[in-house]
Amino acid sequence: MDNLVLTADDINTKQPSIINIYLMESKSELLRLFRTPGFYLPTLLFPMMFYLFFGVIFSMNPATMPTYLLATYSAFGVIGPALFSFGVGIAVERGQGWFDIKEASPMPASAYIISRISVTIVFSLVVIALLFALGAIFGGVRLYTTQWLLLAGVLIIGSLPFCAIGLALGLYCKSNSAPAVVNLIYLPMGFLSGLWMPINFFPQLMQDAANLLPAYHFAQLSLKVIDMDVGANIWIHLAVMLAYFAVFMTLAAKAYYKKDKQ
Amino acid sequence: MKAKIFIIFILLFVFFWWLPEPEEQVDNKKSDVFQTLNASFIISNANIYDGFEMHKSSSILVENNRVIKIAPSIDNPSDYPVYNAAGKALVPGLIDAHTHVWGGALSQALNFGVTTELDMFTSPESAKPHLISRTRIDNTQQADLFSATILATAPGGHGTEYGMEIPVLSSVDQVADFVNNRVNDGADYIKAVYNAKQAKRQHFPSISLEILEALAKESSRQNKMLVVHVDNLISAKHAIAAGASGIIHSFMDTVADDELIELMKQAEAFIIPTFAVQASISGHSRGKDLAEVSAMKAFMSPMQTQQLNVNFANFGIPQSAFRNSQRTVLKLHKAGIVVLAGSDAPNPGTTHGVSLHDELAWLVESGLTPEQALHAATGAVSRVFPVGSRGTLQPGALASMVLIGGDPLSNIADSLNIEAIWKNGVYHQRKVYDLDQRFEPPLAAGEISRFEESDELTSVGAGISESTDQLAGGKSAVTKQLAMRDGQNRYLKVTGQVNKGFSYPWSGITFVPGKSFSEGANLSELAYLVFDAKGEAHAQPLSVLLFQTGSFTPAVHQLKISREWKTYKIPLAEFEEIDIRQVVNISIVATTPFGDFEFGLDNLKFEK
Repeated sequence: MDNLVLTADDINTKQPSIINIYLMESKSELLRLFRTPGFYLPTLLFPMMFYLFFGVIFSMNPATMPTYLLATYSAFGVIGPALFSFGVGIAVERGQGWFDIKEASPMPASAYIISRISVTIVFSLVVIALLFALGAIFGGVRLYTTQWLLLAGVLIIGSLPFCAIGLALGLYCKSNSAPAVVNLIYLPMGFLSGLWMPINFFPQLMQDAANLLPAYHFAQLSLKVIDMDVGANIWIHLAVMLAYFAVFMTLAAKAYYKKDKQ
Repeated sequence: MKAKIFIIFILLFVFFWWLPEPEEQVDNKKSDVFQTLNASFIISNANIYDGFEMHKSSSILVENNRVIKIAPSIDNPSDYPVYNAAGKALVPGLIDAHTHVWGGALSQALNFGVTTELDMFTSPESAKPHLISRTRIDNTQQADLFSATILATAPGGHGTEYGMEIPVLSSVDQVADFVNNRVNDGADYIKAVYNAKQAKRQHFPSISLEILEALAKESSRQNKMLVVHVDNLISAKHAIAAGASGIIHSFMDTVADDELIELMKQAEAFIIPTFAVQASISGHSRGKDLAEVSAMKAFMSPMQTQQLNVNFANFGIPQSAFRNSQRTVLKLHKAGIVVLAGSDAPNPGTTHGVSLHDELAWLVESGLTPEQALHAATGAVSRVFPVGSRGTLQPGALASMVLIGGDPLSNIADSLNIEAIWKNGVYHQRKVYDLDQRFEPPLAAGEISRFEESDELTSVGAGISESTDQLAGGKSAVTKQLAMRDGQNRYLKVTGQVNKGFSYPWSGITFVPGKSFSEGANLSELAYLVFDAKGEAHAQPLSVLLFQTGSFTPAVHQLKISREWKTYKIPLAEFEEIDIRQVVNISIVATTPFGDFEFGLDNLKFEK
């Protein structure tokens, strides 16, 4: 972690460009996260452990299951940092008053959001790399390089609506209730969206209900890359995820300005 | 900072570059799709001809190997594999109503979508196993056989010229026994060869009209149909009047007259014109052309190509005479007489499977519509011969069928454009022969071993060794040694035991004709494997097995050897299931019965 320590070079920049501000803010956010094993251990280990258990060791069909579940557990894996870094992170910082200090600092507000997005992306990349390596080594997953890349791309961009959800939650929830609320959303949503086991194992009613969940559409988009989705139109998935993104960004903005007025 | 980000990108790049890709697969996706269509499946959007009528753009449901229904659309609650055959035609497995079956005929036929063959003369020994296997649903590797077994002919008559000793009829008293014996052989119908005394051409002796009439009567008493080989109008009239159910071969001496039509109408008789063989007799060389059609070449064994390229000995029949035959068939067809498609394969210029497609083409060229021609090879046969629902796709029929790219009902030549074949509901992967393969130079005729000096070394090939089913986990045993045949000459004495253990037990000797055990020898320019043999037991069964490079399924010739030394000449043409150009080993073994055996071999050689 040494290389993440701020150096004099970083600080003594005379005319801070906006990019530098983003970079430095992201860097410090990352540093903070890497010093919080309570955050990064579960977010990294949960999806890996689940994938190893259900996708590789107790796989019902060694030919297809590891590949299928690699896509869904990767989705599960990137939703985690998005929800927690935003939801829990912001709520806790609000509770500690750190959020207010940052608001008062000359740093632009966008840096706050951007840094958290960067952290989520970096974390997502780590989760994706670990899961892909597990799948390739233990699950015998074989995809074309274009598919590996596209899958990673879909997973990272697809995590944005969950950042929005996290942001809104972080702004609405109290710091002590935020972890519980985020977990209450994260785990059931993951399960009901078919991230833990293929959606077609569910009764039809549950399969239909899953259409309401953003994680379901996220998983279907990922599965489309490897030709294992249920076959619905790609635009439906994109539209639902975009809608979730818009709605929760609006909610977050409302909460933010409401708080401002107070 | 920027350098670090750069390094991270490089690492990511390396990581994604490292992630494994699928192994490149050989592109046989097409047949992979068909592989899944077994026993229970649906073919949708096909133009389905069920043997009687056309169902445009319909689906067929096959369940447990049988046709359940044909409908414009079919629900799939059991989630069977579905193949979308839009723009393709599905027809019943074809029936060749006139062939002669031995060796690999039935698998050659299936390779071209002919799923049933009506044999019109073969030995009961050749027919018997197939008459039993046709009753089995798992008889999916070859066509079903129906047979007349031995034909009824006069002493020296047509049918006796092939060197096979057959019972012949010279008086009416013999008829009841003859028919009875055929019924015991398992014959499905009785076939007779007849030529009227009044006919101009008298190239073979023939049974008398009285014997023919007695045959008809006796067959009918035994509930068998009588079909009669004729080659002229007057004989055809006699045959129908005598009570035959149908005539085989159209005739070339003249065109059918109204009298014959009237007779056939009243008797509801049918005709199997066998244009394919008639065209060959009259000097058409369509066989040779067929052998060159690229769509078929790869699916024909070298033997089949050879059969297509052979000419008949000159019969002196002009091509114009063939026109008479065509006119006769059109005339009969227009009068409502049933016409059935039969090729008479493998007579010179014809071969199993391929020539039935040629017969369909001839029927169309003679004036039938493509649909009527297809009917003649499917539904029409099922109504005339006791073949059950073969040749149809009616509910309950075993799903033997052919998927054809194109529309054979408007262009009969499309019938050869076979995309998939099912036999009894099981997808049949067509056998493909490698045309570009290089073979060893053909072996010349000559001695293999006289067994004077060595029981191992041979003049050609890599020698002789002992061979038993112990190779396959069996328990048979064998020893070979040289022994004195008479005062001066020696022979190879083979003694051993055939024991229970492997499903196909064997024990004997094996000869490697190539330079080594992996190089197949090219026997294509040889005609016979010849050896002297004697058995310890009377009529001791012996099998000659030929293995092709890379295959564990031999082509088999069985013989019975006597106690005295005798020379046996095994025609290599008998081994047509394998490619004679790459024979990796020739085994001479005992397979039955269980227990001790001893046999002697001498003067093993190849002859032209």
